[in-house]
Order: sequence, then C-alpha cells, then structure tokens
Amino acid sequence: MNSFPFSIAELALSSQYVLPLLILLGAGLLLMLLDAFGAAKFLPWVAGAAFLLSAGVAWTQGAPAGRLAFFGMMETGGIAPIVHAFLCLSGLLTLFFLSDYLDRHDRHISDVYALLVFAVLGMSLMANAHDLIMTFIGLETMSMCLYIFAALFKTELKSNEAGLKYFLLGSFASAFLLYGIALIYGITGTTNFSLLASPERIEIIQSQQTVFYVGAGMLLVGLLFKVSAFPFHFWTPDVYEGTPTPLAGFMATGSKMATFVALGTLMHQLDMFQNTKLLSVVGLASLLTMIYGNIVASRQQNIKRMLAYSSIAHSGYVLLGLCASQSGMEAMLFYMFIYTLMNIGAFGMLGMVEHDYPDTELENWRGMGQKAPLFAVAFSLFLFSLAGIPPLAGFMGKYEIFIAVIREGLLLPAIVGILASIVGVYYYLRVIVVMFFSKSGETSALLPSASRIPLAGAAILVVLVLVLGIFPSLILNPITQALSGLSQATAVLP
Amino acid sequence: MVEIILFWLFSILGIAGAVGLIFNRNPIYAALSLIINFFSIAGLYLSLRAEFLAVIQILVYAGAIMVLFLFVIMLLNLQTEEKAEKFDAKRGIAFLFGLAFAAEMIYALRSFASEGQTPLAAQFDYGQVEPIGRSLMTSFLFPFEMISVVLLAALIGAIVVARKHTYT
Repeated sequence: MNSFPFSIAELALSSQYVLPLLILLGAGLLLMLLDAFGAAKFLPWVAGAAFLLSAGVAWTQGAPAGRLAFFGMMETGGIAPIVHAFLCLSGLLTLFFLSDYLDRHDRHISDVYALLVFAVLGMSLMANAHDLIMTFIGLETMSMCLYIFAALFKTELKSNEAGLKYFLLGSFASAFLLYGIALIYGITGTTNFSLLASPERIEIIQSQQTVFYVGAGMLLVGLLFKVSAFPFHFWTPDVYEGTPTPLAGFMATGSKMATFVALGTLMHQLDMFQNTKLLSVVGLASLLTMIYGNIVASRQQNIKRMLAYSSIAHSGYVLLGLCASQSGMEAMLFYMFIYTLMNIGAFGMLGMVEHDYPDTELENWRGMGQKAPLFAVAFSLFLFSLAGIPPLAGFMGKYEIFIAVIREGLLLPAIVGILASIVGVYYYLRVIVVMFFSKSGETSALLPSASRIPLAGAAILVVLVLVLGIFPSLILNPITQALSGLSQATAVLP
Repeated sequence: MVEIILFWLFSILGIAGAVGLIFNRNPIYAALSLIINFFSIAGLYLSLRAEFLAVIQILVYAGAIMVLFLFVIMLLNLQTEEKAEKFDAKRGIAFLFGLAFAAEMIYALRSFASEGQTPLAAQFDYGQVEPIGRSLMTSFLFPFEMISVVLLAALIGAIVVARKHTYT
C-alpha cells in the first residue's frame, strides 16, 4: 500500500476513471465563482449542463467491475457508471422544479445550485466507494448538503426545526457508522472492500465474530438512518415538511439510492448474504418499515407529510429487495430509478402549487380536478405510479422487487409486502378522490400559474413514467448488463 | 508497568471528563470537563505511540475547538439550568438503552481482548508524521482531497444559514 514513488501515469489513469466525479467537482466550484461574479441567473443552466455532461461521460465509460481508481478507493466499473448517471439524473430533475420554487417564495438563494452539485458528488462517492473511508466521506459530503437544504428557509420555524433535527440526528447516525467502521478496522486492519473479502480477513472475521457483529450492526444503523428505515425513521416527516419541496423530493430519492447502493455493495463484500443473522436484521427492518410507513401514511391530512411517510414505506420495499442477493440488487436499482422519476415528479408538482394552495393540506386541494384539470391528472398519474397500479412504471418496479424476493424463497415477507402496498393504494387514491370527487366551485385554468420550466419537467416525467411502465427493459437491460459484470468479478472472490 | 498505570489514569480521567460534560448544569463547567476528556484521550494516543495524533488532538480539539466553544457559550450568555429535569419514562427508556449499549460494547471488546490477537493496526509505525504524510499523499490521496468538499459544503452552509439575508 505504501509504495511511495507511484507513477504519474497511474494517477492520470485514475483521474480519467473518476472523470465524471471531477466534472461535478469542477462544476460546483464554477457555480460558486459565477455566483460571486453576479451571473446568478445562469446557475441552474450551468448545473444542469454539468449533470448532463457528467452522466453522459459516465454512461459511455462502462467497464467491467473491479476497475478501481486511486489505490482501490473508488470502484469505477460494473454498476458504478450507471449509478452515477442515475444520481446525476435525480439532480437534473430536481433542477427543473427548484428555481421556480425559490422564485415563487422570493428566496433567491443561489448557493443552492453548488450545493446540489456537491450533494450529487457525495452520493456518487458513497455509492461507488470501494473503501469504508470513502463511504464515510461520501456520506458526509451528501449529508452536509442535505442538512443545509433542510434549513434553507431560515426565517421559517418549520425549516429551522427540520434543519436542527436532521443535523443533530444525522451527526449521531454518522457517529455510529464511524464507530462501526473503526471496530471492523480494529479486527481486520483494513477498510478496503477487496481486502475485507480476502480469505485471511474472512478467517479473522470468523474468529472475532462478536466484535464483527457489533461493528456491522453499527454500520447498518448508520446507513438505515439515511434511508429512514423503521426504528430510525422519526426524523423523516418533520424534515421533509420543513425542506423546500423540490429538495425534499431530491432527499427522498437521490440520497436513498446512493445509500441503498452502498448498503448493497457492503452486504456483498462483507458476505452478509451468506450471514443469516445480519440478513434477518435487514429483513425484519424492511418488514416493519413497510408496515409502519403505509399505516401511518394513511392517516395523514397533509400531502407533503403523506409523501414523507410513503417514502418510508418505499424504503421498506427496497430493503426487502436487497435481502434477495444478486437479483435483488438489480430490482433495487431499477426500483430506485423509477422511484426517482415518480417521487421527484410528485414533490415537484406539489411545490408548483404550494404557493397558491398553502400548507399542502389535503383540505385545500378540494376540487383541484375542476380548478386545474391537467395538473390534477398529471399529479394523479404520479400517485397511481407510486401506488403501483399496472400500466405505470411504479408497478414494474414493485413487480421486479417482489419477483426477486419470491425467487429467493422468501414467500412470507413478499406477501406481507404486497399486503402493505395494498394499504398504500388507499392513501394515494384518497388524494385523487379529494381532487376529483369533491365539489369546489369555479374553474380557473387548466394548469396552475407556473413558469414553463417546471411544467416541462413534469411533462417529461409523465412521459417517462408511462413509457417505462410499458417498456421497462429500456432501463432494466443496461442494469442487468452492468450487474452481470459484477457477479463475474465477485465470483473470483471466495 | 508505568504504561498500565498511565493507561488507567488516562482512561478514568477521560471517562470522568465525559460524565462531567453530561451532568454539569453549568455550560462552562461542561465545556471545561470536555477539555479534560480531550487531554486524557491525547494521553492515550501517546501511550499507543501515535504521537502525531496526540499533538493534533491537543492543538485542534483542546485548543482551537474548545476556545470556540467557550466563546460561543460566553457570547450567548447561557444561564445555568435551574431546575433539574424530571426523570420520566422517555428518559428511563433512553437510560436503559444506553446501559444495554454500554454492556454490549464491554462484552464485545472483552471478547476481542481475551482472544489475544495483536490488532493488525499495531503492526506498523502509524504514529509518526512521515508515515501519515506518506499515506495521505498515496493510498489515501483521493479521500484526503474529497474531504475538502465536505469542508467547503459546511462553509457554504454556515454562510447560508448565518448571513443576514435580503434575498436579492
């Protein structure tokens, strides 16, 4: 490891492998500079271009798994490019809704674009890390930006509460993660994933099971907190409620996708799929998350809080998928991609009307179907998709997850999951019923008064949700391809 | 022998400092007991032959960060909490969980010690400046650089939250 005179060529090659990350880093710095020189109105465009460029470079860079960069710190092959592209996409989609939302609320906080880029950078660092140190640094980069998003509207009490709550609890969870890493390093003497999976380290782990379980358990606590799984979900509704709505959508999608990928990779590398004890902990957490999220969501009177609880429930489905090993990873990635589309859509559209229909109370949405029919139809489409009603993409996502779980022989958890998602249908439909079947009064416009950019974003998302529901293979095939490379690489390891 | 005596001294001082931090009603006293904790941890680092870490611990934590803490406490002019907080069910549960967690850690770490393996981390000279600088510039180059993004984001965050904003 300490081979000192390393070659410059090696460094250049590593930098080339992590080029998509460097693009984001450069873009973040550029955004701050542009802001300083008073070019604030170009910032969303520059950020969007950076996301597109970075995702494009990553997508074309595909390589077999095991292409490591910077002394085994980052994985840049296998699923890494696809995950990176997905994460950039979640940032890009958020941008569609973000600047309009800030304008409407008269908060032209231009630092938010640089932070958004840094957040995606952190997510990608965490998801594609090949070393526990890197996982932690990625998680911190991401979390730091998300804490700021939560506290962004600093004159509002709810936002203050959200920021403080998320920051304190998040730091607490990070400390757990770090302690877990320290314990695992303590027994194995390494934080590198490949070394952790090497035979001699596995032997050490087996002889030091007690410490390993405590360490792995703490790792799980830290990561499960970030995806708001059951015993660690309490922050979710309050934080999402206080966060600017489009950014809440970003929090619920991008950060969760990154954490799930990191969790899945860790479970692979630490051989948790063979370890029934740790696997059953994850499984139990997923069942409780689904049940709790769905039941509590059905009692919410506020659409934003309802979506927050529903995001807890969705975390449960994905965690269940993760228990199903290889095919579960595939289903998980596919589901998170779909979830990114529909959830950013739902939160984004909610943000579009938040100014005119304040507080996102369900009561205020009475008769939305008559006041703004086109808007209501599009919003219902996202809700139908979140509920998992057939021709839409959300159904395909759930289908993949439950099929993967059933194939793994976990029939009972799958049945619980399906029952829980039926409860979920109730509260999504309730919003639709309130929008269309309760009288309000006069018609005002087809669409709420929003500028063109968020409307375009919503339209794109609607099309994507429809198309991917009918042709899921468009996304599923590249994921399968990238993952089959992963399975070959891990097959070499014992 | 001296090492063992020092170890117990520093550990007991460290734990006492941490307990003092939590139970002191006066924020200044709490901050000062945190300094005791920082110093004794630096002592533990020294006994592990991690000299660089010990120096940094004192310079950064006991020095810079504590001064900042004290400044903030004095500027905010916090009062001593007058009423002792009630010991309700929530606190009781939290206390039980804390105890259970401590027991778990003691159990796990004892099992680690009893099996008598030298931790791999103790097998190379990680304490001096040179090996640390070497590994920061080679194997840990990328994370080392990426930490600057965390710091930058934190910096922006502090400015966003703290500045007087006119939302121009």
